Amino acid sequence: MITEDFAAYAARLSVRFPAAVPPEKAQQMLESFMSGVAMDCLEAGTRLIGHIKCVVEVGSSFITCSVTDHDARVRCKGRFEQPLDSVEVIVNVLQYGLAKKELVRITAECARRSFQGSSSLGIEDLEIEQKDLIQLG
Amino acid sequence: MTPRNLFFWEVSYTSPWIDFFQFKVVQMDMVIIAGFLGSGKTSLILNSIDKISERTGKKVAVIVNDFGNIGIDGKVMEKYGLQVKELPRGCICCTLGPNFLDAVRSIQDNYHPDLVVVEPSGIADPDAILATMEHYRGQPLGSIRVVIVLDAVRFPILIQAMKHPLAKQMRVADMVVVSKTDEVDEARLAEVERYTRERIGDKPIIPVSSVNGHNLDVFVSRLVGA
Repeated sequence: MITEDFAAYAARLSVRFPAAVPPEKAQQMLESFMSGVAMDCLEAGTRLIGHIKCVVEVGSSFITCSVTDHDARVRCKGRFEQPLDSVEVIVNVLQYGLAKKELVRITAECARRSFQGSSSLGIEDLEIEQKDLIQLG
Repeated sequence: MTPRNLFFWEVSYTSPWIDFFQFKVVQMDMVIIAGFLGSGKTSLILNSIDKISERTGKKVAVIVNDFGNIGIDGKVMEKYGLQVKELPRGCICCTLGPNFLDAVRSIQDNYHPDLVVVEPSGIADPDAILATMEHYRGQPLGSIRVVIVLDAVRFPILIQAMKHPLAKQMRVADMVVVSKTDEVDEARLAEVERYTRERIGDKPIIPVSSVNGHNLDVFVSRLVGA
């Protein structure tokens, strides 16, 4: 299934909020981020979404979210149940059509858009083990 | 080739009844559960692995080939209480071939499972994994079978965008699992089955849903012959 136009990006987002965010709001941010990545990829020229997925550890529990369809519908297992002042999201973007640098750009833009109000947002590329810190505000 | 991780873990048991069966001296079988990205391979494995051990007492080990330094599937498996070990980066069907063989041998020698389930990443070619296994120098395996998971929801787009890779998968399939039946209607299922039947003849086609459990028992029965 490897074709010439396949590209993938794995990253860890470290988001800190200035004050605790209610669980519903955090869930909304996460789902907005995931669907945003899918929609932006499709708009930029992804011909086929392979799998856009993430996992968030919350104490001993975890939340996984996944997008596979071109309607950018997000399916999640698990939900945030407590207010949180930080969140760490491991995301994989696997698709056909765009180059990796585009995936890096889209992921960063969607993270900035979806986690608005965060005091810091770090994005670590899990393939090259290089941390790029994006400071907001 | 994009870097990936290879994980393996064993299902741990506490039941003395099951432990008794672990002393059986049998050849290890291998099942490769392949399929396109996002087709539901991990969910299928997570939802059926306990059933295999419960129903047959078989000791099962799983190898999963994931993407990135921290694989999401491996992490989820860990959270389900499965033991996970990370191996060097690479692709299970090409650059990671020798490591994959080492992992199989290590599992066979150290854990003595009855069955090893292999979940390659959704970009792997199952045919290449079979070719890699021809170089295996451990104890001979009882059998190697290939299960292809085919996403019923995305079937129309997959047969357009991935026509040739899909056809190639079908050629090596011993069984096809049509996934996500809870999200499609009968007409779609019939369409997928027609496509598949034309390519795999009388081999089993099993429509399943890992969400509502539809046919998971049938899948397990076919897999372990129980």
